[in-house]
Amino acid sequence: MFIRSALIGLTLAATATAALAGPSGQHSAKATYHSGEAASHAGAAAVSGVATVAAVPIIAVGSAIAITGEVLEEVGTSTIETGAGLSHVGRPDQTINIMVMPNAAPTLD
Amino acid sequence: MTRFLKYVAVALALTLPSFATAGSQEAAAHTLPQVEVKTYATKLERDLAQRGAHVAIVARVGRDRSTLPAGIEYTHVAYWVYSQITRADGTQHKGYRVYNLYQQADDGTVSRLVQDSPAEFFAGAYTLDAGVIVPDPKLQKKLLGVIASPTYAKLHNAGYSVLANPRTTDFQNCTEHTLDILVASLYGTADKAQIKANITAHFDPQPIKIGGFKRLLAPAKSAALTTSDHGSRIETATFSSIARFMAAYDLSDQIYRFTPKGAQSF
Repeated sequence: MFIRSALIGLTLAATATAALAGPSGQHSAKATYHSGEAASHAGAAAVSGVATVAAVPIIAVGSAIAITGEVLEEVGTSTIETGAGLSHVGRPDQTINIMVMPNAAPTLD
Repeated sequence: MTRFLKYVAVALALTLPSFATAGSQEAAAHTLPQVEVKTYATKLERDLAQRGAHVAIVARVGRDRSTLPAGIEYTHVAYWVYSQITRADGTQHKGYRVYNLYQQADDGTVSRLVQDSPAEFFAGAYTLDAGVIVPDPKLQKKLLGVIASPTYAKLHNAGYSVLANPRTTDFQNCTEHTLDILVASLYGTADKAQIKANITAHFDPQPIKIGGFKRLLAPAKSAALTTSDHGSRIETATFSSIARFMAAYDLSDQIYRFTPKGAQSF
């Protein structure tokens, strides 16, 4: 009887609704925009679609900042895949076991 | 007795999902009016611009906080980068772009790097309550150097785990990638072993309390819930632990919450 109860419990545990949000319609919508790539100096990639954008970081820290133009984006219209060619999609990194000594505590000075 | 055991089994099954932190999904089901989301995202953009932030670390809440494990306030973290943005029609404007590591929808064990807009970042938020870290300007410059280089993608590990151990390279989630980029920027290195050594030495991750039974059964529910990269203690990178790390080493300029009412202190 215990075994049967335990099996019921395990079955429920394995089939209970996952808290991780399941695939959303947004994803399938977004997938249609991923039709191409264009590398920038950053190694980032852009895709073409209804409202394709390219974005380049403005590196002049300390300069004045202003939001210009229409910045609102419809959801799903401005997604850009970044670095797809450099990441290892579907293949987790191998564990690094090399012993490395840490540097000193971080400081900006 | 049998009935009791069945109740116990059901109770255990129902408690299993509670430590899944909604990960870094690109856009879960929209629970908030999207007009409200867009207005809020723009308000945060303007707030960051007023503060002169070229880069900021921003976190969102993707689930009801009451369902999150103790110590976890936010479910997704990303860099917001002030950028020159060009549209398909050639028009240009300046604003923030969000550099995300998103969990794949069709395979929760895999992630990808995606840039999107502030409105898209909050599209799947459960509530409009962001955590914001504006790094010290010196650090912003270092961060931008890394984000705009191949190192940003090089430090991505597509093997996704909700509770990835930030001290190891086995798995990674959005917060760990954010931390790896931060440490790479601080030490001027793209060497993963060196980055992990420095994280182990100087960064205190958030301990997560999970019962042994729940931990044992979680991977059966989703492989992304694996804790195989942890020892007996489960510790992961969170927005709050990154905020504590940056405050402890004087690396941040401002740390605050941002709600539709505006900026608030924690």
